[in-house]
Amino acid sequence: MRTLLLSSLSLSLILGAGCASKKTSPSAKTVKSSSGGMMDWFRGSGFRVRPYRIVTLKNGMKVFFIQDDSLPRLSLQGLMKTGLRDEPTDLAGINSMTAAVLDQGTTKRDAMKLAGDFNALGTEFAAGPGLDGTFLSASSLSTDADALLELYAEVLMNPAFTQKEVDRTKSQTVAALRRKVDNPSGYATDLYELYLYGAHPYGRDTLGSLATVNKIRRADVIRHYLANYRPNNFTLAVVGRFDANFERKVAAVFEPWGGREIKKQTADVPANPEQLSLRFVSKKGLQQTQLRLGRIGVTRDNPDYLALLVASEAFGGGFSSRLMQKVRDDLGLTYSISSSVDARQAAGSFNISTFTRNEAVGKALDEILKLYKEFAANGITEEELKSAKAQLIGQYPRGIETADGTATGLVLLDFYGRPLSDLADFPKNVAKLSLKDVNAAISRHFTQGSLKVLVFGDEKAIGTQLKAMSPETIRL
Amino acid sequence: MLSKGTPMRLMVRCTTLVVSLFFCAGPGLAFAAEPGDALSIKLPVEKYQLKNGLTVLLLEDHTVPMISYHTWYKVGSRDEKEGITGSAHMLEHMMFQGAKKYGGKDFHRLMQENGIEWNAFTTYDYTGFYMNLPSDKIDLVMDVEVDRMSSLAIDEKNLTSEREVVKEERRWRVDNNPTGLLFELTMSTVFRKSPYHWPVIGWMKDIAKYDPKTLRHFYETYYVPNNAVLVIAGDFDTGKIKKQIESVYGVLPFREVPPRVNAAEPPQTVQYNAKLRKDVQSTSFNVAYQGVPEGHEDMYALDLAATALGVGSSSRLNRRLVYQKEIATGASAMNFGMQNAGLFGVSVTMKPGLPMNDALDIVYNEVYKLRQKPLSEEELKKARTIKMKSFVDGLRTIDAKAQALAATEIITGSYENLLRDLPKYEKVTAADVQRVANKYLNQTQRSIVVLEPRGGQP
Repeated sequence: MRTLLLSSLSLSLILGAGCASKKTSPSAKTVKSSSGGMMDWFRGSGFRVRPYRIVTLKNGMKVFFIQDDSLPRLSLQGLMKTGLRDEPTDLAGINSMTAAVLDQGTTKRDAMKLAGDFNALGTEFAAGPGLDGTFLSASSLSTDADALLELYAEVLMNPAFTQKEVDRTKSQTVAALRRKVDNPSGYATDLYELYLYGAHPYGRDTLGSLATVNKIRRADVIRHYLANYRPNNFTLAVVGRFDANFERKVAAVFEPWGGREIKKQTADVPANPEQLSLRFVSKKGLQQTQLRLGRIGVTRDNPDYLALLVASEAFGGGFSSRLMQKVRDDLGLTYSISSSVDARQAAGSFNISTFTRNEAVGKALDEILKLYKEFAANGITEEELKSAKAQLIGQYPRGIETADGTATGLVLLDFYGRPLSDLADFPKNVAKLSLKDVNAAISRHFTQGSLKVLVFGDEKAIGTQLKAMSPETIRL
Repeated sequence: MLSKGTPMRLMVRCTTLVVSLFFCAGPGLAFAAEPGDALSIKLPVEKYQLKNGLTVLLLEDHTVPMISYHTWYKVGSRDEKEGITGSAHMLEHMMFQGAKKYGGKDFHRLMQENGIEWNAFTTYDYTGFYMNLPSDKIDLVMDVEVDRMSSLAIDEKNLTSEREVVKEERRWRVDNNPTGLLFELTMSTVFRKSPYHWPVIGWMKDIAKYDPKTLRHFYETYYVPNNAVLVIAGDFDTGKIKKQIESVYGVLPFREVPPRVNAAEPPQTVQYNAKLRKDVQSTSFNVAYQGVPEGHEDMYALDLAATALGVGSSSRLNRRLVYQKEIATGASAMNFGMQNAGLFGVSVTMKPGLPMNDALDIVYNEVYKLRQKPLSEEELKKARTIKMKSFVDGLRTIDAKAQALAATEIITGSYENLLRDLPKYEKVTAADVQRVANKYLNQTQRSIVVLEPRGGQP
């Protein structure tokens, strides 16, 4: 849940991933590569980002209109520019709870009536609270567009926040928090983010904690809503089959929504540790060990962002990346291993994620750390650069193939204060990165400080494999 | 289906399907193939067969300068037997380890540096390989796919490493994943005689002992053009690509494929029970019934029954278990069709610390109500709309269109059933839903499969 917004923030994740191996087998020389023509293909295709229109209402709400008549559907994709990072520490989870209670009743309909009315359109109201912002969306067949707009606006503008629904949502949230440990993969990521970010909001679970959720009162939810869920803090994308008349309806429906000055919170992001540090969380009975490694990374507006995407693509982006080739294909230590760059409003992170059999944890960690050390010290090769760029450019059209994909890209660029032209210019901007550019970025961002490593497994099964790394051990 | 016999014929059929969905209530519901309607969908598909039996579906679509290239084989875990379970899946992995022309590392490197996304999956009934490529890479992709369709290399060295990869995949998907464990136990409980009994990924004891000879036999038996469906969707010229397909694939020989064993399960006559205890925080359970195969005449009514019961936050089960009683964190229902059998299932996850008895009684009660009383027209309409919206959502990309075409072609024998399904949902009446509930959802036909905390339920 917490990574929903993050995932969408990175163009690389919208566009797909993958990269080339540094090493090639001898027979590879006999196979001709044709990666040089990626930009020729793209330019020659005539493919363009879909046209869009932006309207800003008097109350400050920005609306993107993106027409797509290919299917009989319409979607409303909203981004409230408030996320986990805007919560008070003692009320951690308040944003997630506010988003969750939004569609649990309005001044006109109770929770079940609303659920039934959304379902009757074949949809749900989807709330995705993230670190920096909160996605709020719904879609329907285009013939139901008017009904969808009415419901969606009602939920955003007139939520009831009854005591009964706040209590019910709290109870569900507590249950969800308690069950998290049953999903080792997701739970390991939660543990890793807490370890990486410490007291910074990014270290917290989007849902909050058992201690803070129980403290949240109805009045806190209403206060959070009134302070943050305002039109001047909200961007909407209207996407699909609609006409000019519907555009006017959208404006008319949202215009009465009152704006307010929005206050943002800031918090210091911790520095990377000088030495590699390891936290081992042990739970009895785990059949496999989860590994997460990473370091504090960059903000979304960092000029090295694209170069780091290319670097990560080469290091751990896909089947032919260094991590995948060595750790999975050569050594058979895992089914999946990848690296990623999460860029955020405050400093994001560079992450490596995998899992392995309990008896191979030490070996897997050794191999990953060796690969990382080589990558951080010497960067990538010319061959890897070409390959990573080809993958990012080659898969780029798929990221914006649907009008919804285009809308997501535009809304997020707008949110992060980037030029909207970045969406169309992505292939061009990737193509012009040189080996020097990428390796200089690697040098700037990976030579100072070290990694934090989170291991989630069964102490009894792992034995002494981690002993040399002097882990901080936590037993669940 | 061309998997048996020798129909070395050239069949060409070109169809442009235009679907129009009308969502009027009641018996006036119409389904028309008239272009220009507010809810029309166009899928201009051309289907034909090469002389060697390869089935080809082409969908020209220039929305993006990309091609989605799907090669699906009619082989899945149902074609295995005890002792070699998971072989179809293991072979799917080996298909990335190199063939005569393109070695394993060459394969990955070439895909990557040509901007191509590639992957595969295995199911109970079929195995699918797909690539999403810049449209000017079609020559390379066709060459690679023909190479591994005709000359896969399976050696002990690669198998040794990949076997460990698959063991790790199994631990990740099943052994270390409570949801995966519960699903695996449910399938093996409901299906006792059928090959749908064992998991697609195979039992761990079988994964540990795969050998090249067994996999090579599997490959040589099933990876032949007459057992494959090739679906290409996206930015190409149909006339040109047909010539290319003929030239590249036409040289491959037809090879007899043994008839598939019917994977149907004998009718169930007593309730089955199964329980698993693991280190989990809350109890989860499935109430499962033998359903019907994909495309069966009762599938549509069962789909709508499952939707009314447990799809959406206003569904009957969600309303009672999650919203009103507040005893569950989630409650859902599904109707899952395979080629020779199906599964109608309800899944409930309790809040930590709560026993499942009350929830199970409510599930029984809701299933009983489905049998006793027809759905209201409003509920029926809602269920239909959810199904149809889901259908439309599933056609948003060329990759999704290609997947839908391939799956429908393989499971039902004709891709055209993809759009023929829609009017069938429209024709389902409340009485039909009640009838199938009475036919399939009885006490002696159900299985109760439980995953509970190690210490037992409170």
